[in-house]
Amino acid sequence: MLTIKPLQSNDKSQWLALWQNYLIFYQTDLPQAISDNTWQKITDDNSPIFGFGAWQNKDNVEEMVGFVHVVLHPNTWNDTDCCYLEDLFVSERVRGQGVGRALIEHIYNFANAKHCNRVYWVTTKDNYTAQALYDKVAKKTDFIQYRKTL
Amino acid sequence: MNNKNLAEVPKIFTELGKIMGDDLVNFKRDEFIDRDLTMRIKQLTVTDKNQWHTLWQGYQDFYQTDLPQEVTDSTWQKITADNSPIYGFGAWQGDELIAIAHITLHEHTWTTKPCCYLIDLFVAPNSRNQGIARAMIEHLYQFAKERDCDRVYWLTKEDNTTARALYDKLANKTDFVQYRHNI
Repeated sequence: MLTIKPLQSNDKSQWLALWQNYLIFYQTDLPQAISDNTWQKITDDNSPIFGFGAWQNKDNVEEMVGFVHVVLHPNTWNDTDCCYLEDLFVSERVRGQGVGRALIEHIYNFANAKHCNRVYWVTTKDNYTAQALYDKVAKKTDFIQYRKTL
Repeated sequence: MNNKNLAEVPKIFTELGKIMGDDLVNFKRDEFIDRDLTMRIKQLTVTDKNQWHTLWQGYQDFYQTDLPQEVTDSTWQKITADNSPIYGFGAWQGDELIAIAHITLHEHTWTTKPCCYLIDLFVAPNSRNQGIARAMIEHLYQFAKERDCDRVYWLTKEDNTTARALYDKLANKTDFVQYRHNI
């Protein structure tokens, strides 16, 4: 049984364990201060960053098996906000069971309730596993991204 | 870009003089010389609406889009509102608006700093290849730095080779592809 709900302050330790694995996937290691700040933004009602956890109940123990973070921002092409899905991660143990899809669909509902006009995200072009799912639930655009680190 | 001086009067005026008579051409030449061609970049303000609107339409034409008037009105409102995270910049030559750029600053999860998303950039067709897009982007780098952003990023069509020739000089192409689901 899978439940998806907004992340709350007391979810931190389980979230942090998954967040670390997510960073390892991207071969990144962020300083603790950044993770703390990210968690603060996720759980702050006044921040445009929102986080959701996917929970599996096993033997009456709730375990977080995935998370998703989004940021809502205004855009110039629409008079409603866009929902940028920044992070999505599913525990290796439960891959291929529809948790990623369920998280994305949850975000579609969330964005709809927030009157957003779209949900979008980026992924590395060689992440074929993720793209197999993304191709089913969204459209790949022909945009590429440029970045300048300041 | 400095004011043109006499030595730099384009050949077309001297050539025209042969055809049209020097008096007429001298008049045109003086007008040309008097024009202040220094390029300035500054934030868009409410009084810029008409000129902005012309470029915004040109930009939409480029993307074969025609946004409803209420969206354009809302966009202009966001650009000029003090409490909106959307900012607009214009490049001016004299009193003519020749380019526009729109950005939004937003928080993200990988740093404590906000990041700067360059949403729109458009240079008027007859002002291209004069370094204006580059100047706009560099101006935005400066603006984003002052706002303590950690990065500036933008998207472009993979086949927009003209734009990419410039972007490749100013930024790094990431290996991300974008997915989108319209609601």
